[in-house]
Amino acid sequence: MNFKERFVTAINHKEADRVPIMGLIVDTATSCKVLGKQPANILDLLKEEGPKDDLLAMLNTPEVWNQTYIDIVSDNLEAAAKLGYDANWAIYTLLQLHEDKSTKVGFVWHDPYGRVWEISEDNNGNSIINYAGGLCGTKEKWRAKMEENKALFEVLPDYAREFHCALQQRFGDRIYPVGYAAPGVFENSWQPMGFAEFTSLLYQDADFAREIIAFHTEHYLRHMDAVLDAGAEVVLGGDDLGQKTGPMLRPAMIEEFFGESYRKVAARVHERGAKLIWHSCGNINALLELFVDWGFDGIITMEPTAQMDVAQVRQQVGHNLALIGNLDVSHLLVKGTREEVEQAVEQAIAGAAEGGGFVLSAAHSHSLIDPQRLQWMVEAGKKYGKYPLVR
Amino acid sequence: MSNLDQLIEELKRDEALGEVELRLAGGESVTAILDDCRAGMARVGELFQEGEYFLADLILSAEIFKSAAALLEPHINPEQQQKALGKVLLATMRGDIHDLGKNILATLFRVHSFEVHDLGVNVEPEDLVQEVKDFQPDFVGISALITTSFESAKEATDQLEKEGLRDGIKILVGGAVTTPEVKTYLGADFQTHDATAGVAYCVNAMGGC
Repeated sequence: MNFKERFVTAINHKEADRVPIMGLIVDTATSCKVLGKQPANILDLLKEEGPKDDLLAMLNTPEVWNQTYIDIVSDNLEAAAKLGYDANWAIYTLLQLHEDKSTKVGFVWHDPYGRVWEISEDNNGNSIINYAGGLCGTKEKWRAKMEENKALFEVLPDYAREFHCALQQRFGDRIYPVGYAAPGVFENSWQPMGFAEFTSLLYQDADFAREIIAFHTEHYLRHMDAVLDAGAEVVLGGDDLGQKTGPMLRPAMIEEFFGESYRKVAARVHERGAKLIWHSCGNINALLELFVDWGFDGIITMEPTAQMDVAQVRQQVGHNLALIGNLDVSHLLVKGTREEVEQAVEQAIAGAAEGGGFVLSAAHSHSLIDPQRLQWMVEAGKKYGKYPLVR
Repeated sequence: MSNLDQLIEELKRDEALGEVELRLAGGESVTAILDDCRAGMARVGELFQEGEYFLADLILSAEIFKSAAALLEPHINPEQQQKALGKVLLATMRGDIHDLGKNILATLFRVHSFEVHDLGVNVEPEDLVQEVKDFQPDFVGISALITTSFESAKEATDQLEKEGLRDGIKILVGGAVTTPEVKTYLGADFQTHDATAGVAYCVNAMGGC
């Protein structure tokens, strides 16, 4: 059985030869460590003396960005293949560099939806980016930004299609690149405005909130089509709907405002003969039934530090959802011992892999995850994940 | 329950602010109005703890409270100022620029009559240590959404220890990536993912209820 058959078999709730292992590598710090490469750090370029006009003009040309970005994600997939993963997620994104003197680095990334991503340095000197806020805090600003980027929204799905097709071509015989349409409708709706601002709309200007959600649903369906065009049998969608203690909104409110949108996304994926796995960080135990109802085929991550217990989730949803996860990335895969990693893998497999429907993975990705721990996870997955499982 | 309590509990922003204005115009004391706002916020906190309310509800109630407080502030005279229950210093440390949770926490502390000094995001350890000397807080709250700020938080807590400033304060760590292991690593006194639990810990420590 090859990596693809193993992965697809598991998502279809059948037992493969062993539990598949999936990577969530997106950080160049991780992939470069695995591949023994020196990361090309944008901070070095930004710290150089002198005007940055040429650098900005070059990086902000979509063709240059797209080519550079494919190479970065190729390194991620290369590293994932080297670690022995069967699959790794692959997310298309388009960012543009802008000068911003209020930040330490002096530059930030903007995305087409109106988010600002701050550039900073982790403790090992790697450049990292984090969502820092939005450019569309009011109705007028939101409408102006969507109008300003109208032409970009037209071509974004084409860029995404080229990206996913290129990765399929480069890696299709070595590892399964699981195309991920991200960010989803919820995040695209609130992040460009800010959470407090968007939340206020839900309560006080529901019509405008629905206008935003409808706009992003339409765009997201086109993005998902582009991912599917690369020939995927399994795709990822995602929105962080949870925080550490529970859903970010009342579940009834998520259903009221976003349920129809998610049903449309799931229906589109199914029409195209594929399966939809949904990513959400945080504690989403209270949303699992909604996920099944909306037509999602699986979920990915299930953060253990957000009270997501993979065995309990399996008990709660049975085989209505495939489960991908869920090794802790706050301690275990950063500083955990080999015994701790092995034990967590054994526990996850024992709790969720009976009858298929389970893929082993880290609960997320960040630059401080240690590749040695990832290697231990893979080795333990191969040791404890052979079917039939030993009880 | 007064009408204002209930309006805040039900997250009816415009009606709640209208009620504040009405009562101010009627000559009611600022303290009484503020007490009702606090009672409404306390109820929202309880509903969050009980799992009835979610993050969005907490944030919206905090926004309502801030707007109400802004309406009341010009009418507060120095004699009406209540004595602060305690002093809280808040920061998101270097390496992290997220402030949603910290901002909720700041509002909830103010609701509970704490004096709050918020240093903002991406704070250098030496700046936090200096502010502990200047502001002399009872509590230091360190917020983290990503793991990259742990090392700078550790530098700050080590420095507080080294300079003999640690004994007089309680350190709280909170935010998505914090765990009991992070609490131990930083030598903190309390760790939580829940802003209301953080405030309850401080209220309790100050002998409040």
